[in-house]
Amino acid sequence: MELMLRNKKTILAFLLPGLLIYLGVVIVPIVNTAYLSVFKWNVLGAKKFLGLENYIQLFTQDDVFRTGLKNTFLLMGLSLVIQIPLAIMLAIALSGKIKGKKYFKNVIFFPNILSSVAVGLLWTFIYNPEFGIINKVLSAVGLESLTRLWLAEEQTVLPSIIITICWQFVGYHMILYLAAIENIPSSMNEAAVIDGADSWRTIRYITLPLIKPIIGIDAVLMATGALRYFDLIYIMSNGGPNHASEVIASYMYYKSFRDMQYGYGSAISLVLLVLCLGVAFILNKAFKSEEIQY
Amino acid sequence: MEYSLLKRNKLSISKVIMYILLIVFSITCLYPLIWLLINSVKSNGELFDNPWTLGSTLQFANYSKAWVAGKIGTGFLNSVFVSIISVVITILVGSMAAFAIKRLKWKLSGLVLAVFLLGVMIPIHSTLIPLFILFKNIGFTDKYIALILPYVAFALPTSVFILTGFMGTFPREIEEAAVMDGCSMAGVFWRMIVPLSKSAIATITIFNFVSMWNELMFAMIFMSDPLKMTLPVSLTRFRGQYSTDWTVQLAAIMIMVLPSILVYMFLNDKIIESMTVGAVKG
Repeated sequence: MELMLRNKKTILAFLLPGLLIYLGVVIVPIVNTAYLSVFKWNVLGAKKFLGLENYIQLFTQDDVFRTGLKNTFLLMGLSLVIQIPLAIMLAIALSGKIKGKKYFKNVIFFPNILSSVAVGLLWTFIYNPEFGIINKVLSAVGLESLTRLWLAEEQTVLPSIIITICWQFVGYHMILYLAAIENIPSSMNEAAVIDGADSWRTIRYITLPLIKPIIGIDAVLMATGALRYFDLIYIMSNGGPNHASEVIASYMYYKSFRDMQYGYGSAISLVLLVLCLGVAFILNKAFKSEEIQY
Repeated sequence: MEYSLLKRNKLSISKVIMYILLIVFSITCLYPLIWLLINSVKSNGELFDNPWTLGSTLQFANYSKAWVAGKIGTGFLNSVFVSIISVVITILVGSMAAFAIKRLKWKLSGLVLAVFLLGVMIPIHSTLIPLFILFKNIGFTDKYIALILPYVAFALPTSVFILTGFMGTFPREIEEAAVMDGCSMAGVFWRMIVPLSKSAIATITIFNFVSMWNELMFAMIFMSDPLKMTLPVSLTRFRGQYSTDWTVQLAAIMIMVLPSILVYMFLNDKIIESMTVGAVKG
């Protein structure tokens, strides 16, 4: 039996199909991206070795990249600040004895399974200056002065898209917190009530500390998701107007597949990879806490 | 007595706040879709005049126009094909690899698992350019395999993670019992491991299918032939061509959203569980 479980041929036969696809399509291309990022290469011409020139240009001369970097961190920060508290509030509300719990849970999670292309196009209609819901409602209640060309003005485009992103994903995070809250033994809440704690204190001193590890995991998920975010930006504004809503991923797409600058695009995507790994590492450290014993 | 009365009052106030929060938020989630449905069966003029109610006659022609002229139908079928094939391959090679890592005995299994898990953190963007060049050179672009390969590769990390976690819970004796009964290792895998892993396989089927069905970036870059495009790309292309035909665009969006709504109505619990399980255990 031991021999069968240790048989090299058996092991390779089971392992290799998956491992080779993964290494060939994920890992090898990353090495290749790193290699391409030190060249100037515009498809038609020959590759020209530049050393770190692409990176130097990115960080010192490329204003659009700096806008993209700033916007990406804004997107990340706002996602965290808006979605985590909102998701926790919704989860706490759902965790009580609530009528229609299943309905609320299903409806609020629902936007997650929708294609972001469909969501992006739908919200482009919602933000439409002429017949979109937002401007129609504002005019109807006499706030005409607040109506905007939401996706066509440099000041409003990014916040508008961020609201859509939160709309689509907050239900996902709500489910994570709901699962964590429902895992808290009811004896802990009962003990708090016996000690005279009201519901706000119970939330503050029992619920929140006990779901802290999940907040940590969720923050990593959300932050790395926001760093690489592309879909809704591409659909709703394509980085515009005038690059005002450009993020790293959309700029990488623009440089690589519109301008056809493969070397420069590779440098951008490598910066993105390093940021993802770095942010995940930092947030993991920040939220690291001892296992909770009930 | 007085104390408990006070308690009950306070509780009900916080309960009211919670209901308001949930009701407002669920309406925010649902209303855009109702608005979409209402306006997808109207004429352009009616949309401009009054986007809140149904028009005088229902314009179902919007849907047939989107389906046929907009090639949304072609995109739909391509998406079904690519997603199903990719999910099947992911399940097959993923559970084989998980079996090798978790059930077979060799020194480097832990390291290989770690290499797979690293993939969770890797953004697809950092593979795009080399893959695009490679696929172009070997003639894969505009063929289904150009999407199937990356979909499988990027589905593997989470899938292998969930499957190894699941297979780790089986008792050690099952291989032994099967071998006693005359099974080969392949027999052990097909007759014991796969059936026992049913619920984990259902989980990875669902979340991989949802993400492949909706995937945009690979699909947009690797497929430029309108006959091979998947639904998200057909939809973006359609917007470019029918940019002022608003209500037909809405019908096209509805066609994309409808299958998700229907499947979700029946499988919502399993879908929610499948899509969040990878995160919590991670």
